[in-house]
Amino acid sequence: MYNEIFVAGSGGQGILSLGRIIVTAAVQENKYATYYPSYGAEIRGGTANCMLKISDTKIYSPIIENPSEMIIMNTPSYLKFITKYNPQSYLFLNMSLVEKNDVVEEYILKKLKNLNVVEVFATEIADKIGNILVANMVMLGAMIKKIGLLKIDTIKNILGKKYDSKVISLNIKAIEKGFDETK
Amino acid sequence: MEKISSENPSIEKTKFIKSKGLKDKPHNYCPGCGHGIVHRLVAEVVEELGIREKVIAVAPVGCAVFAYDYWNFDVTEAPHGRPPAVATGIKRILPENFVFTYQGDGDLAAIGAAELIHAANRSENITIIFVNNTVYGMTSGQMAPTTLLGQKTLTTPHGREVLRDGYPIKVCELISVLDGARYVARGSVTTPKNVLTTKSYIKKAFLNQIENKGFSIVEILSMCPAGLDMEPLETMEWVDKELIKYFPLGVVKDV
Amino acid sequence: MKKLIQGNIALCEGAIDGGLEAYYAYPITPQNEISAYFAKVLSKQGKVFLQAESEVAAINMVLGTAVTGHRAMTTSSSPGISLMQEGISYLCGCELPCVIVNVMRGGPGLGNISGSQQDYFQSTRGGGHGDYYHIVLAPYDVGEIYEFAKESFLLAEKYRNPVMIIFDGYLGQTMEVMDKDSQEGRLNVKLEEKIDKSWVLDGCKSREPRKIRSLLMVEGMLEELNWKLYEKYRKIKENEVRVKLENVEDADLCLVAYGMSARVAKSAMIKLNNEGYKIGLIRPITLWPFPEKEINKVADKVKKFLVVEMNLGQMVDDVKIAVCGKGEVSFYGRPGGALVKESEIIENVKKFLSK
Repeated sequence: MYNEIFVAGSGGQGILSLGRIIVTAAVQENKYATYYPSYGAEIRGGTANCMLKISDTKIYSPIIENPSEMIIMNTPSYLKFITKYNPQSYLFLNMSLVEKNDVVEEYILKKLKNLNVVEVFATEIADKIGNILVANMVMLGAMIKKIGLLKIDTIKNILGKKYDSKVISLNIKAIEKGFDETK
Repeated sequence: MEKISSENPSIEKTKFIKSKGLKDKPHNYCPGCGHGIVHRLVAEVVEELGIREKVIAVAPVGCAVFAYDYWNFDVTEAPHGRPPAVATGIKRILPENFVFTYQGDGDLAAIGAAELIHAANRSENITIIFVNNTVYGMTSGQMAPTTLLGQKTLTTPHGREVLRDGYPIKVCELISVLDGARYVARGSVTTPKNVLTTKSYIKKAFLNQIENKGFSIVEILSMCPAGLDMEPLETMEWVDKELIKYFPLGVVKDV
Repeated sequence: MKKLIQGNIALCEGAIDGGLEAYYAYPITPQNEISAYFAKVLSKQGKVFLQAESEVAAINMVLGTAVTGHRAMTTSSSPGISLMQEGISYLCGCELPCVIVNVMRGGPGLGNISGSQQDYFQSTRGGGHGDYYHIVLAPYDVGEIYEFAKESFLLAEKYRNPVMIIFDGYLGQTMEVMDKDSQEGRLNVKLEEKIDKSWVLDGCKSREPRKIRSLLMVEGMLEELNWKLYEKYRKIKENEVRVKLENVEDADLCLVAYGMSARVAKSAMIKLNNEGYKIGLIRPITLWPFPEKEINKVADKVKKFLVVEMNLGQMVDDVKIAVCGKGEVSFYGRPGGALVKESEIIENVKKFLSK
């Protein structure tokens, strides 16, 4: 097993915390994992992305050239990173904030076959359950539904150590919603 | 100095002896230079306060760079202008030791202005002895930040000009506005009276550190006959007549 | 004990476990996690934490603590390390042990806040004035960052010399699992004799006063100091070279890389070897002293060396000196905060092999 997950969005969307939660869970499930964040000079509102590698064997380069999963949270990230997409990868799009670009779509469709695009209205789902900030967790739920990778219990366990009960239950609800609403 | 009784009890003689704070080594300073006097004052105060075995001094870059050859206690060198930072590094790790820097006008007020201001602003519990002779002595007499307007130096051959060189920095007044500065005083070493007053300033500044009161600085107007291209006596008169007009003597701040 | 930890934080934990007593630094990206961590932890432990007014002040505060024989450290990133060079020259001249960390970013000038390896020359040549060297350690994962930071003080004290740890901003930001109990990544610094502390300044109680200085004006004295330093550097070269050699025995080509480049190179090596190529990896762990003899020995058998760096080619000069004409040395690198790519390494290897 070797997953190379690329997560991108804007600062404040919980991109980096989503990445940290995923690798922390992977390590708890006795996997090797690396997390490499990248962000602009702005503390909030700039771009943010992170590269996660999860494997059964030791990982050397933490940098991703060909992601196996991409989680894209907004339009600027979609336009910037769509070129990293390859036929083997899963593309998880936050459709609440990603406006698809026809030119890009056509280009990808022509170039690649077997598209594995998973469309999730993450920000809207998050808003409905109480806070748009948990859109990242909705995406996590969707990813787990599609590729497995991690047990939801492990993630619950990690959240339990970090936050108080109200925040935890909101986050868990978000993961479950993302899981349930993804086919 | 110590008082000794003579055969005639009505006459008391004073014997001039070397301070235990000084090594038995002749100074290499130029004739008429003020550093020898200031070194001695510092050494005497160290001895009188009984702190010789606790002192770690920081020598500057400039003429007093050799201070570690003359003082009879631990001394380290520091890069030009950095003694307040080096002293900070010593005092923070060894707060029970006594730490002072000895700096000239170039070291302290030009290249080391940032370190001076921030050490004062943090109220670092150290003492700075600042010797101001208005000229870079060791590098052969260039303009210092404290050179007076109109004063001729190697790099102001026609006199210091405001438009080109700006104004002489009044270090004591500048530092005194910082809340962290606890004791700020300016003395000189031109006359026995001034020497004794300056010694009392140094003592007060040292006591401040012993009592953990924070940052103290004593500026000392001094003579550099070689750098100023004057006879030693002439230099003393110049300091007394001209320099103190711009740099008035006295305690600037004591809180 | 295994735990997931960021490179910059592993450095902090290593330094604390290694006996750090005083930390001075000025903020600069991409290593701000370090001072934030120390600010929280050190004062609680009764140790010294101080945010300096500049890197110039920070390195001189380190110098101040170093003259007292206590363990001091500063961390910064490339532009800040440039500002410290004067102080580092003094630390070497005065023979003062301390630890300096450079989490390298892209240059020249203000550059960017991405990771790079553009300060190889500055670190290994003595970036300041005068003839001097300091030990340069180049960890390549968070475990090594921890171990090197932990043992660096001992190494510095053993030789009365600064030790510099350098890694790029990418590695500093990377989170991965570290195992403190593992033997892997340890420097295993050996002490033949007790650390000499007869020079420290702590007040001249029941002893003669001491002075610490590098100013030596009497004719011949400075030359004498330089020869003494030369002898020390010779000993360091003899005893402290560390390098990791992998698959070099029957390789047709050896990759040479350190730090993050070595990780990408290692991934490339594994892929190439799976494809049937015979590729080795030489990973210098000490950049100074450089594993010159070790590489020269490899060059008896291997005739092609591809040096991979995140710069325009700096360590490649040392590899050429080490190979000394016994083989061909080629270079692949990316400057300005760009990361070397596994695919491009593979491409370069194949091109070089078919030549």
